[in-house]
Amino acid sequence: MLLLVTLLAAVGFRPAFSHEGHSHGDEPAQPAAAAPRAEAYSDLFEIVAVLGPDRRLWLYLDRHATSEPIDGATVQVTVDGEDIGTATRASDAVYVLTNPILERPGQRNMVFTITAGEDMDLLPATLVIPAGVAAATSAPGPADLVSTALREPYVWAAGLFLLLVGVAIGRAAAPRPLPPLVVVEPSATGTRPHALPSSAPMPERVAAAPAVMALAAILLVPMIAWAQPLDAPRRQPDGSIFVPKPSQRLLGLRTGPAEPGEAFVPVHLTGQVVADPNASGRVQASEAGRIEPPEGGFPALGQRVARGEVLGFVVPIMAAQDRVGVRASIAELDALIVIGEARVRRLTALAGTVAAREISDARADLEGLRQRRAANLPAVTGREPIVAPSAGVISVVRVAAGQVIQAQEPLFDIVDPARLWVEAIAFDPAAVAEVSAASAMTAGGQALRLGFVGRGMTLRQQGLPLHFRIEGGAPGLAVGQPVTVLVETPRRTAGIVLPAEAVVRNPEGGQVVYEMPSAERFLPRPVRAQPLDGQRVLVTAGLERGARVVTSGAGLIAQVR
Amino acid sequence: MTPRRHLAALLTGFVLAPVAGRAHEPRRGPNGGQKVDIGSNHAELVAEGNTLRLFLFDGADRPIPVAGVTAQVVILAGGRQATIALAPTGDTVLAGTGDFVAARGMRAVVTLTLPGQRPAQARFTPMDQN
Repeated sequence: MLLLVTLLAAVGFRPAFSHEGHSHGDEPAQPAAAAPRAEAYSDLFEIVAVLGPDRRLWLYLDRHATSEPIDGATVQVTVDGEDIGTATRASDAVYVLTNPILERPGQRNMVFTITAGEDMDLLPATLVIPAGVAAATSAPGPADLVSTALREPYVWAAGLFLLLVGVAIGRAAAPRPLPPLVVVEPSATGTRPHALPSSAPMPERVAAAPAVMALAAILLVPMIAWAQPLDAPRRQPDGSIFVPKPSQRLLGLRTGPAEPGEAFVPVHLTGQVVADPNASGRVQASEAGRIEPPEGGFPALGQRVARGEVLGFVVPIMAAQDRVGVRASIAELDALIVIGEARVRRLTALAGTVAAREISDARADLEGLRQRRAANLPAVTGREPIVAPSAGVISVVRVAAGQVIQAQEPLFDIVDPARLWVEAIAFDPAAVAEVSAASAMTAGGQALRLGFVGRGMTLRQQGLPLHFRIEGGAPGLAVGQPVTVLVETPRRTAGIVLPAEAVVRNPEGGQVVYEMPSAERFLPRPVRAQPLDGQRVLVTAGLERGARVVTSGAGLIAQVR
Repeated sequence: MTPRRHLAALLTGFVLAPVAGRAHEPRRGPNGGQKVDIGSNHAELVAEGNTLRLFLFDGADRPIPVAGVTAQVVILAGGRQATIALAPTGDTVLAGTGDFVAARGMRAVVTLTLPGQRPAQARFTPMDQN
């Protein structure tokens, strides 16, 4: 055990004890093909100085924490203790400086005095100027060509000789216009021989083409040389990615500090949009019958209806035997009513000799018979109105005029689009025991704010149904639409909260965050991340606190080859 | 040693390892100033009033003699820039005075030239450390 402890401690301390304390100068080198560059940073600023092929010093100034370019700053430069003046603004947050001291090869100690608004800072940097600045970069100048020619005269003489030989062979082998087989009378206007095709370039132009190209090249070379030094972003052998500042500016790259924090980790549930039971209705027939439209026809899909509005009529249908029974009883009642009426008339005429009680009895009998007939009559001739149980929009129509329907058959669905709910199914009831907040996301990316309504106490298909109210309104939703519900629970998880854009997929499919250890170097850090909502993720492993990570443009860095 | 002590030692080793790995960070020196890396050595800058003192140490934090050493300091304090040359005043210390007042937010860049070596630079924020 003791041995194990010693071994582990030794492994842990080894980087600290190398070079009697710690190692110096272990910063990774810049790419060999890049222009000479130096960088420095403080808690405020980050500056990158690049010596261009034109021997001008290009300065790129950014905020250190966010990599936000700082425009309009004053950068005063001291080289080896000698003040060489203030850099002039070349373009947005790019400053440029020319001085003969920058042409002397060797190691140069520089101090940048930066003033940006209220912030002032001193930044030291060391720039190593190679012997031939221009030779180190892509475009060699004419002076270097001459010096190379002087250093290796034989090689150049051989090259020139071969070139001349090639030109001579080309001349000898060039096709010449053959003498014409038929001598044609020269035309009166033109002096040019007809044997030459008219589309062939004129000899003068052929001779002029190389001259023009040479002239263009001479004009273009200084233009290229006076532009900003262009170093291509590239992947380094150690796995890091070199992205020079001009490219970072093009990508709109931004960074942020990895601050540890805590966040509510949401539970993801699948759900669907349902209608609020208090703001929706289903219209059903209470008995079998034939559907008849109201005046103005049946309501159409999407039509707004008021509560109590008549949507149609159901004419009851009866079996023949039932109908005959009802008709027979109506006929019988009709006969009884006739008799009753006659009796009432007779008794009324004898009023005074007949007891008043008898007259009132006869009237009551007649009234009872009439009511019985009125109650029986709708069974054969009447119809039942169907009314809207709630106000809303017609969402389903299942009727056609004349259709015979069964009792309880749904005819219309009415939904209030301003009052929709979401029903989610939780397969782990313990995970959603406490709901603090919820939101939902449709397949199209529409975010919905949800308010928790309640949860069921009975499992349905192994899942626990939860109801949420959609708050703030959400146009364009349909009942039955599937949504992803993010339920926030009071459970908090420690990690680093980053914008979702910061986490990208590497070619192997893993999740990667790009750390920015220095101004132009990026390190892919495999992380474990889980989404918090549509915009943020929580990185729970793979990042150290305080690391500067790319928050915007990470996907473009991942594409650097 | 009980097993619990083994575990404690193991944990201490793990906890200390990353801390020790951050030796490049500015830290408090033995003379109350700020100590940072300069070239392959360490230097501690102490600022008091208008006086600067610079103590030199090697990579293992042993004081080194400063005979023949020159140093130039660019100071940014109170929005003004000043340049001060430091000269040896003791065995391991260089000192100099200049037109500045040490205050919070002060920044200094020291260019140190050891005899027979290239100049090395380091940035100090001597008044900002806790």
